[in-house]
Parts: sequence; structure tokens; C-alpha cells
Amino acid sequence: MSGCDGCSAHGGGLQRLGFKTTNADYVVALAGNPNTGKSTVFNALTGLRQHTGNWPGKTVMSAEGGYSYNNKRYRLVDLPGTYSLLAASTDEEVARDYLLFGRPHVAVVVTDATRLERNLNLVLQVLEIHERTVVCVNLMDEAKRKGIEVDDRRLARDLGVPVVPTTARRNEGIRDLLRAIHEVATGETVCRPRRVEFTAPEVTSALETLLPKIDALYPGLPNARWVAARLVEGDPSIVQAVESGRLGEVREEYEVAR
Amino acid sequence: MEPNPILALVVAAVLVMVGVLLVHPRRGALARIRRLRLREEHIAAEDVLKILFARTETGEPTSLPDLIALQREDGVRGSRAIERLRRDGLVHIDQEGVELTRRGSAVASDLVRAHRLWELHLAEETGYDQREWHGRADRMEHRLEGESIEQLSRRLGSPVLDPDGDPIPGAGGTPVPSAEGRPIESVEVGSTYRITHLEDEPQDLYADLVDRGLYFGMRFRLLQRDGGGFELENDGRRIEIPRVLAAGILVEPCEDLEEGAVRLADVAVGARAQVLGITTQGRGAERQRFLDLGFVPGATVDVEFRSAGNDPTAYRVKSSLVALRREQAAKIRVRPVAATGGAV
Repeated sequence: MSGCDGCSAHGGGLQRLGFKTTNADYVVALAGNPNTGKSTVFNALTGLRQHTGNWPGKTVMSAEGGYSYNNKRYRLVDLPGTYSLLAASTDEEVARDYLLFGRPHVAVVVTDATRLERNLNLVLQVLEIHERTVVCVNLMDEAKRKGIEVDDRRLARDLGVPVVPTTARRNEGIRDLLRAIHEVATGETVCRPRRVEFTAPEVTSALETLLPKIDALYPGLPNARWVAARLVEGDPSIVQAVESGRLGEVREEYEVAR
Repeated sequence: MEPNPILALVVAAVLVMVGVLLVHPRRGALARIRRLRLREEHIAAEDVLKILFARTETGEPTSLPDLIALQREDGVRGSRAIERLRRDGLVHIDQEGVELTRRGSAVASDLVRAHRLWELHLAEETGYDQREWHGRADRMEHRLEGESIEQLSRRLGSPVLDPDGDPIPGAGGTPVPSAEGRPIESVEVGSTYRITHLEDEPQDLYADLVDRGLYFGMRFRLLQRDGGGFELENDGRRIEIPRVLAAGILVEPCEDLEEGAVRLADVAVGARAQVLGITTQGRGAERQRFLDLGFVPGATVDVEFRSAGNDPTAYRVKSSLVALRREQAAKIRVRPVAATGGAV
């Protein structure tokens, strides 16, 4: 059995590692609206061997698991299901903080093929914060049943990131998902996420003023524009993160409480 | 008969316990009563400060008898509170009346700041009914101080207005501008206006205004006015305001009231509408949730079905079904459209 699994001809051997995922090569965060089959995707990747617990200091549930692909070890972190990242609730705060401070190597946003329009709200917000993202369009069997066709190629072009259709409960598309994640993690696929354009002159001039200052404080920040927009909005947690220097830290120790 | 020693012991023990319960320095009943009384005096004193602060706009001192009549305590307690303020250097009393000192002004301003910030907190971060905000803030303002007020302000985004349009004083007693707008007496029939301020005291009048459907930020057209009061039209609803309530409303003219707007709650099952926006009553996390679910300007909403008890209703927006209660759907402003597209 292990011979087949380990062979690269087997489509990039996926080995499920259970939850002992210290020393992972890459960390992958799984985001998405509630009821998109995110848990099914998570299970498909990690097997049922995951560790569940709570996010540190919060009563929000979390799960973590791992797998190995093409000789690289991946740690998969399941973020709470949210409709957006604008931090109006603890769930959203946890999800956003993990993407911002946990700096996973890849973010995967699981969407429902039958509700794509609403799900894209979260996708676009994730793209604002996190460049290296893969969009997973799940529940494709449901879409087919309802006569909905998803043009994933066109969507990938429009969003600027890989889009993978899946039916996680039947294990369809999971191999493609694994490959897409791998290619983004290793840099083989370059993401050019589509970002929101602000048109109001007051907003753009405020952003122009802030951007160079943020660049000076935190050079090379991948989402400086998003941070600047939050500062203009007066988001208290982002203001605090910028002032305290926390924004620049890559919190590798963003461990799920065990 | 000799006294039973055991009985004597028990009685003595009970007496000692009762004694301790009374005179224990911290937990004893007497100590608690004393603390309660001190607290009440403290609150009474702060209430006097607030009254004086509210009257500083007129620029004239308040006579002592007037002040005693205005505040809530009986005459004896009230004058004790005023005397205490004088001793603490927070007010100045001469033959013309009572005036806030600079320090008293700063303390009063901080009280008002705490009160209005707390009201905004209740409006944006809790589900308490609008009619309760003022009463709860009245009690809470005496407990907030210093750093916790500043933290509250920062968390709310350093706001300048409370949920009824009252300006929030800055930290450290900076002078607060009065609320914007003109009295509703000044309105002309046929013109459109926006409510810039709703007076939240006295509370029963405020509750009446709220019951009639008024709120800060509401835009309306004036339909009629006469000796008895005013008749407004807002989003398809007619509202009558008797003259006695009108004094609590400030307005300013507005140009952008959309034609044919209604509330989503008023749209019949089977109909379709296009979202214009969320009313100012939708605040904080609730507002954000409406937007995240897809109730953004321009979105098409279909009213699919209503549950047996008339509440909640299922709406289809952004290709998914969302259930909203009537009071939630009442905060979404829409324009009905024909089911095949195009305005009705």
C-alpha cells in the first residue's frame, strides 16, 4: 500500500499524517462561508485524524491536521466559517487575525458552487489580505443538479488566482486542489489577485498619503493597501497593530491551543 | 431555676453573630448602608453637575432654588449635594446663583462623554431596545472613568455623535458643540428633511417618538402641518407628530430622498425589490451582517415566503435564501421592481 502512495506516478502521493504536524514545510489555512462543505474538504485532505480544540483565548472551535504531498509536509488549519473578515464577531476576528498575523503560506477559500455570488464577498476580502490564495469551488454535484455551470477558467482569470472545482464528498477534484496548493506554495504558480479599486478622490488621496509611510515602517508588506484602507476606516485593532509593531511580526507560533 | 449553660452559650453566640453582621467594617450591614448612602450622594452630586452643564449654553448662572427644584433628590439631599460640590471646588455659588467652575465643567463634560459613549455602545454592540439606552447610560455613567472611557471611545472608532445625534464631548472637558439642525417648526410643506437630533429626555416622550417610527438620520417629506402637529411621509409610511413631541426633533433640509422607497418588511410575498440601503437604525455588527449577506445597494431581493406566524420571512438575495425577522427587514430600504426587471 505504501509503495503506491509514495510513488510520484500515483499523482503525487498524498499521505495523511494525522495531527502531529510540527516541522511542516508549508502551512495552509482553510477559509470559507459556513455550509460550503469546508469540513468535508478538510477531511478529504487530512483523513479523520485531526486535532480539534479552541483558538487561544477564545471560545471558537478550531481544527488542525496535516498531510504530505510530493515529499512536502503540509499543516492544514481550519478557520471558522465566516461571511466576511470585517471582524464584526469573534469568528471573523479569529479568521482575519490568523490570515494577517499567522501568515500561512497558502490560503484556500472554499466556496459553494450554488451560491457563488455571495461567497465571492469573502473571497475578495481574503484576496485583499493574502496574495497566495486558491479558490475551491465545492458542491459541484449540487450545482450540476440545479443546472448551474461554473466557468472556473474564466473565474481564475478574473480573480487572478487558481480556481479548482471539487465535489469533496465524492473526492472529486481533490487531486487538482492538492496540486494547485502545492504550486502556489512553491511559487510555481504566481498569484496576481484582483484587488478592489477605490474611486472616491478623498479615499484615494488618503491612501496615497498613508502607503509610503506604511512601506517605510513595514517594508515589503504584501497587503499594505488593505492596511492603509483599514487605518482610514479607523479599525481599532489594525491601528493598534500598526502602532505596536505587531503588524510586522510573522507569528509562527500562532498555535492552536491543545 | 439555673440558666442552662448550653442555652446561654447559644444565645451569646447568636448575639455575637448578629453584632458582627452589623458592625463588620466591610461586610457589615451598617457599613453597607453607609457606602450606599455615600454612593447616592456621589450620584446626586454628579447629576447636579450634569444639569448645570446642560444649562451653560445660556451663559447665566442658575439660581439656587431653581437648581434644587430641577434635580431629582428631595430638597435636603439636593442642597447637601450642591454644598458638597462647592466644597470640592466644582461649583461656585454667589447671590446670582450656582455656576460650574472650570474644574466642575471638566468633570461634567466627562460625565456626559461617558453617558453618550455608553449609549453608542448599547446601540452598536448590544441588542438592547432603543428606549432603554438613556436609562442604562444614566446608571452606567457614574461607573465609567478615565482609561475605560478612552478605551470605549477607541473601540467605537472615536465617534463624535451619540445614536440620537447628540455631540459627544472630547476627552478632558473640551467644549462640546450643540446638536446640528433647526427645530422641526421651521419646515415647509412638500420639502424633504433629515432628522439630525432626537431629544432623549424626558424618557416617556422619547419612547413615544421611537414608537412612531422616528430615528436619527431618518429622511422624510413633510405632508401637512397645522395647529395640532405635523404629518410626515417616510418610505411609504405616514407618521403623525403631535406638537408636544415636536420640540424634541431637529432637522436639516436634504436633497437625496429617493422616490418610491419602502421598507423590505412591507414588500409582499412573491414581489421583487431592489435594495437602496440600510437605515441608520441598522448599526454595528447587525449592519455589517446585512451587507455581508448581500443586502447592498443595487442588489435584487425576491420575497419568497413567509412563515406561519407572519415572521420570519425568507428572502432570496445574491442567489441564496436568507431568513429575516420583520424588525430586521424593516431596516432595509428598497424600491419595488417588476418581477421581469425594470421599475414598477
